[in-house]
Amino acid sequence: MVGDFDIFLPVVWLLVAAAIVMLIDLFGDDPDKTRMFNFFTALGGVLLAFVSLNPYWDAPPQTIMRGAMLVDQFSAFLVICILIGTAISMFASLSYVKRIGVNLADFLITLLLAASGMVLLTVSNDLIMLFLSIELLSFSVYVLTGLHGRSGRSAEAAMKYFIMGAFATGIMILGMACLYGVTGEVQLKPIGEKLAAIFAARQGTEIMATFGMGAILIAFAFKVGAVPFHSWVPDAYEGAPTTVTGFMAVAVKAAAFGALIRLAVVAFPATASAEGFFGDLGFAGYALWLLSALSMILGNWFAISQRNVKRMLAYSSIAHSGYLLMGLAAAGGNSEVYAGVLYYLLAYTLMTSGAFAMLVYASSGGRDIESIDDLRGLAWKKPAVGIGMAIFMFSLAGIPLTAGFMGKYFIFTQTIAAGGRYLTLAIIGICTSIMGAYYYLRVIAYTYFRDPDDRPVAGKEDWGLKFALGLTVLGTVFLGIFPQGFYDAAQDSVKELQHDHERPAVTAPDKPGTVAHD
Amino acid sequence: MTADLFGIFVYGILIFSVAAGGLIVSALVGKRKKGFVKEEPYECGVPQIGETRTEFNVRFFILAMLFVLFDIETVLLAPYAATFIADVHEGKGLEYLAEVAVFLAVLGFGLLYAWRKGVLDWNVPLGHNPDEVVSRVIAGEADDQASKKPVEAAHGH
Amino acid sequence: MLEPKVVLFLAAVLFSAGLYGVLSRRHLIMLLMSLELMLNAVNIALVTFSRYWAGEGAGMIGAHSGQFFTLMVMAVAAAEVGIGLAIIVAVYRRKHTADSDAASELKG
Repeated sequence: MVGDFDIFLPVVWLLVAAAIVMLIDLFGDDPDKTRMFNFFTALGGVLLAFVSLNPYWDAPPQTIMRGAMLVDQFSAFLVICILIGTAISMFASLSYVKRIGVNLADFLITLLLAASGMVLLTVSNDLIMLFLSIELLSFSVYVLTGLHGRSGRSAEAAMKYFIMGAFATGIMILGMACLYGVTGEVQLKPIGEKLAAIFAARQGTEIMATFGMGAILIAFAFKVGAVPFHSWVPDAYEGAPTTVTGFMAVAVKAAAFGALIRLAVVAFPATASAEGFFGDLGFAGYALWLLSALSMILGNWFAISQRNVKRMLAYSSIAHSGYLLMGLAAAGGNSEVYAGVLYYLLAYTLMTSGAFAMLVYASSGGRDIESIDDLRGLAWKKPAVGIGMAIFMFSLAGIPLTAGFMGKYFIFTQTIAAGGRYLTLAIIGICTSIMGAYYYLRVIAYTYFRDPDDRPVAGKEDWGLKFALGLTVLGTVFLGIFPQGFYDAAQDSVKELQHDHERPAVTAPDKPGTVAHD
Repeated sequence: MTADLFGIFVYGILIFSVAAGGLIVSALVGKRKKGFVKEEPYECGVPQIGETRTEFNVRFFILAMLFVLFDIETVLLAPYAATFIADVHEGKGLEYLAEVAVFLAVLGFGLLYAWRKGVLDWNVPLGHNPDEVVSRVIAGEADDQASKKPVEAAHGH
Repeated sequence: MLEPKVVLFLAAVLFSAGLYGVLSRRHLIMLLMSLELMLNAVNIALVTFSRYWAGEGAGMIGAHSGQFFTLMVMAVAAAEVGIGLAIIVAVYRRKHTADSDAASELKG
C-alpha cells in the first residue's frame, strides 16, 4: 500500500497545496501580504502535480487500490489538459478575483479541489471511484460558480447549476446501480466482460443494462452540457465569474469526456444495445448521434442570436460539446476517432480558456464585458486584445493554422472515414461550423471595424493575466502549425486504453520500486 | 412469502378502516357549525400570535450543514472499524490508522475553516473574522456593529 | 425474506417520487429533499443488489461493493445537502425568498 503511494502524487500535491493555502488564509494576519504566497503555493501544487505525472507517460498501466484506479497514458494526457486549464485559470484570476471582491485563497482552494476531483475522475477505474470523483469536481465547481459574493447573479447561477447537476447525479447513480445489478461488479473491466456476455445471451437483463448505460450517458450529457440537457449552461456560464467560466468550460469538459471515453471503451461493449432501443451498432450509437447533432445545430443556432459575449461563448461551448460527441458517436464505426477527440480537448482547453482570459483582459477597466457592443473598436485602443481575440475566435471557428482547425480536421476526417450515418453527422457538423464562423467572426468585426466609443481605456493589467494570454495564444498557434506530435501522443494514449482489456495491467505490488523512469 | 405478506395486508386494511371509519362516522353523525372561533387552530387554547410559518435564523442552516457532515463521518468510520478488527492481526494496524488519520484530518480541516470563519460563534456576524470582532468588543468600540448584525440576521432582514 | 423484485419496486417508486418532486416543486428546500429522495431510493436498490449477488455466490468484492457504494452515496448525499443549503442561503440573502421562480435574473 505504501509502495504504490506515489501514484496518488498528482492528486496529493494538489490537495497539499490546497491545505497550505487554507492554513495560511485562516491563520495569516494580512490577506494582502499573503496573497502572492498563496498564489505561488497553489501554482507550485499544480506544477508538482504536472511533474509527478512524468513517470506514467511511457510506463505500462498500473492499477491501485484493488483496481479502483488505473493510471495510464490516456489519463496522463487528460490530466495534462486539466492542469493546463487550471493553471491558466489561476493566472487569469490573479487580479480578477480581487476586483470582483472574492478572497483569492477561497478561490484557489476550491479550484485546487476541483482539479483534484478531475484528476481522480480520469484515473478512476470503478463505478464508486467514478461517482466520488465526479461529485468532488461538481461540488467544487458549484461553489466556484457561486463565489462571486456581491452578485446576485452568481448565486442564482450556482443554484441552477447545482439543481441540474444534482439531478444528473441522481440519474447517474441510478444507472450505476442498474449496471451493478445486472453484472454484480463495480470495476469497469469485469463490467465490460459481463455486459458482453449479457448482450450475447439476451435473456432479458440486457434491457436493464441498456437502461443503466443510457442513464449514465444522460448524466454525462448533463455534465458536458449537450442538448437537450443543456438548460443550465448559459445561465451558469453567464453568472459565474469569468475565469471560473473558462475553467468550467475546459477542465470539466476534459475530465467528463475522458471518463466517458474510458467507460465507452472499457465498460460498454461494442455490441451493447437492446434490440431497437439504441439501434444496432456500437455503444449507444443513435443516442450519441442524436445528442451530437442536436448540440451542434442548436448550440450554434442560439449562439448567433446572443449579444452577450459570455452567453455566446456558453452556447458555443454547447456546440463544441457536439463536435466532441460526434467523435464519440463515430467511434462506433471507426475507433481511430478517439485520438481526434483527445487532440480536440487539448486544443479546446487552450483556445477557450484563452478566450475567457481575453474577456477578463478586455474588461479590466472596471466592469465586466457584457454585451458585444462593449468590444466595439477595442482592437484600436488595445492592440493586444484585437490580435489575441482574433486568434482565439479563428481557432474556435476552425480557420486553418489554428489549433481549433486541426482538432476539427482530425475529428471530421475520421468521422467521414467511418461512413454511413456518421457521414451525415459529419456533414451536419461541417454545415454548423460554417454557421458558427458567423458569430465568431462577428466578434472580430466588432473589435476591428466598429468605431470605438469614448469609454476610457482600461488601466494597468497584471502580469498573471498577460502570462496566461501569452501561453494560450502561443499554444493555440503552435498546436495549429505543429499538430502531429500531439496527435501521435493522443493516438498512443488511446491505443493503450483500447488494449488495456487485452493486455493485463501491471499491478503496483508486482513492480517493487514502482515505475521505470524511461 | 404470501403468508408473510398476508398479515401485513390485513394490518394495512385494519389501519385504513379505523382511520377512514372515524372520519366517515363523524361526518355522518356530527353537526357542523362554522365560525371564526371554530376555524382557529386551537379552539379553546391560548389565542394565536403571528404567522404559522416563522423564519429561522440562517445560522441554524449553517450549523445543520456542519452537523450533517460530521454525522456522516460516523457512517464511514463504521466499515473502517469492521475491517480494522479483521486485519489488525496481520500487522496492518499502523497502515489502517494512518489512513483513517488522513480521513479525519480532512474533516478536521473543514471544522478549522468553519471555526476561523466564525461560523461556530453565534454572535459574530457572518463573513467577519471572529478575532477582529472580539477584539473590537473588548476595546469597547463599535459595539453596536457586533451586536446589531446578528439581530438583523435573526429577523431574516 | 422478501424477494428482490419487491424491494426494487419500492426503490423505483421512491425514485419516481423524487423525480416528480424535482420536476414539480418550486421551493428550493423541497427540491433538495426530492434530490435526496432520489439518491436514497438508489441506495435501497444498491443494497438489494448487493444482497442478491451475495446470495448468488459472487466474489467478495462484487458482493460487498454494493453496500460500500451505499455508504459512499450517503456521504456524498450529505455533502450535497451541505452545498445545497449553502447555495440556498446565498440565494436567500440576495432575494429574500427560497422560491426557485424568483431566481430569474438570468434568462434561461
